[in-house]
Amino acid sequence: MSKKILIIDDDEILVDLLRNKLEESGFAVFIAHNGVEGLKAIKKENPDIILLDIVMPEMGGFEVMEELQKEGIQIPIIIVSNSGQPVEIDLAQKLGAKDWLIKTDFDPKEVLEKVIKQINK
Amino acid sequence: MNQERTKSEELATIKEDLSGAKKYIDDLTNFLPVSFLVVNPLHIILEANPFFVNISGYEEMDVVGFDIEEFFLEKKELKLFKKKILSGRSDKNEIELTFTKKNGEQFPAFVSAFVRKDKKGKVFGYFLTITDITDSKKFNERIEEIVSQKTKELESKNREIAESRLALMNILEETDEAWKNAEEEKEKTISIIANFTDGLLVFDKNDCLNMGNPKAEKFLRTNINNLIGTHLKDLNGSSLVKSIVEVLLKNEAFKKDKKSVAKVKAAHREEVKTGDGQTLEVSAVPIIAGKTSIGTLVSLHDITREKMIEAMKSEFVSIAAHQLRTPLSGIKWTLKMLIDGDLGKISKDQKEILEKTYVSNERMISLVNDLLNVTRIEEGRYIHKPEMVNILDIVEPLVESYKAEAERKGIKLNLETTKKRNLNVAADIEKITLVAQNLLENALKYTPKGGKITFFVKHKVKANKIEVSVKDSGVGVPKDQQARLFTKFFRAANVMRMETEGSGLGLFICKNIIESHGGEIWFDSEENKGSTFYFTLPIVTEKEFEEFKKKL
Repeated sequence: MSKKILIIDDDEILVDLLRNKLEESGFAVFIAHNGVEGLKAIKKENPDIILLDIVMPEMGGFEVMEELQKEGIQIPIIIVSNSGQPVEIDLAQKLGAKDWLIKTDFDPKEVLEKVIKQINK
Repeated sequence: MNQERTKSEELATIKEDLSGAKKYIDDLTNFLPVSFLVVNPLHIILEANPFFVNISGYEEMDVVGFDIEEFFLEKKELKLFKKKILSGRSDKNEIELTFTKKNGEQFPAFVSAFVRKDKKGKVFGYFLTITDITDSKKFNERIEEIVSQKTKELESKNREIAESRLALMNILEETDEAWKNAEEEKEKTISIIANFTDGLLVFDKNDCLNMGNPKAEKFLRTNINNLIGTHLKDLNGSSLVKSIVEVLLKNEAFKKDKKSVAKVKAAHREEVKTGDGQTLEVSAVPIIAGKTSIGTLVSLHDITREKMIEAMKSEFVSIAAHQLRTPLSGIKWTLKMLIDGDLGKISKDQKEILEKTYVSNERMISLVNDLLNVTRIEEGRYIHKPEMVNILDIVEPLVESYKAEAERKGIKLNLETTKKRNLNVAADIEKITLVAQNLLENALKYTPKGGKITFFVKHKVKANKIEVSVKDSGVGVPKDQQARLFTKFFRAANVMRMETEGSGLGLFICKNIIESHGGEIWFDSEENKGSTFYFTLPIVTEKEFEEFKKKL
């Protein structure tokens, strides 16, 4: 059975490109466009891994992680964001994120590699 | 007959009386201790009494018949005196003259002439008294001498008193002036301290609180007067006072050895949160007198506003970064997938165009990254995450990854390293990679085809440092522009002409990274011959690394 991956990001272009790349590699890809949708999808689909953006409308990535921590839900999370200040990265680590990828520093192929590496851990 | 008898009897009686009177007078003159002469109007001596004989040494017969002039030294004065006597204007005439005794000795004499006149007022002679005034004169002289000396002494004493009085007045005036100045200075200092916008606490050399200004009182919400004289470690009260004391006890200025404290130059600053949203910056500097510290000045500076601005700026940077990176990452990902053929087959020409666009976009991304880094450096928040790392583990893969590009450009790229592999530096791998990459990219950018780039990693044994250098045979940096190379937004003129891209931020960032690692960065360069950029990083032991981490 293919692995389930949930992308929570409001950037349509990136989501489309990522979906393309990940499906090509055999992942079952689910999409949410903000934190609120994301939390619902997590509960509904119980994904194996989550790609999470930070700055989103309605609910951002940090709040999603806080919510998951509160509810005791443990799913590997990789942050894929346009920002990436050290304080933010530290905070994400404290909230349980496995990795932080700055979008401009990676491309879809490299994101895919990180995802595979994480799943195989 | 009776009458005659009576007359003759009367005459006899008168005679008898007269001779009695004469005898009385003679006896008196003989007895009186006054020397006198009886002189006629021609100034010839007629009689001399026994006391004259006594004081002059002459016998009466030696002087009788002689002019008085014979016995006095001052002839001229005597002449005038004689005239004065004979004029009869006054009965008594006096003068001081020098009398010559028979044996030739002389004595000062007080000479007094009593004029004798007949019934008609005609002068028929005079009495001359001569008194030896040697003793009285001596006595007078001595008195005068004493008086004069005493006067002199008194004058000199007076002068001395006047002088010392003046000196005293001057001293008093100076003291007064100095006191006024000191008082003024004190007033000034007190007024400065009292009105200073920072809270100030002064501790004495035993670290006991000496004074505090109203602002400190306000910050600490404590009556300072109740704490005066209390040792730093015994100060308590609010939790804020406790946290400030905690910070100060760790401060260099409060070390035990006051001589070493005197060498502490820069104030050590520490931020303390007040608990109600305020942030205080606590700093302490020793108060130096001569070579030793006589106390400590602690200042409490309210940086709440700065903190707020910093937070706002940081938020702005974060938002700006996000806003700028969002479209750039969209373009990057799209181009990358197009180039990789993930979105359908493309022709060779199309691929070439897309690759060029991709490179331009990458430049844009790196420019945005540079701007973000600079902002963070200026905020002082360019946080490093140090790890114990072998510098070769950073440099070797980096050089390897650029080999292909160098080859494509027709440039020889080599790496020469020390054989030792156990030399660790404390480095934020990502940041140091950024520096090495920056220097290598610059070398590649500014070295023409056929050129050579060599990467050196050397162990500087004496300095206990690792020295990394990148030597190229490129365009070099013009001499007049070398001084500004590490400044923000600087781009050398010869570089601007050949290539328009580049933010002018790379070397500024490199300098900040290396210096925050405790290293140094510099270069040698000659225009049209090439440049060598160097940086050093201190070699650290495990223990030193722990210390280094604490400092960050």
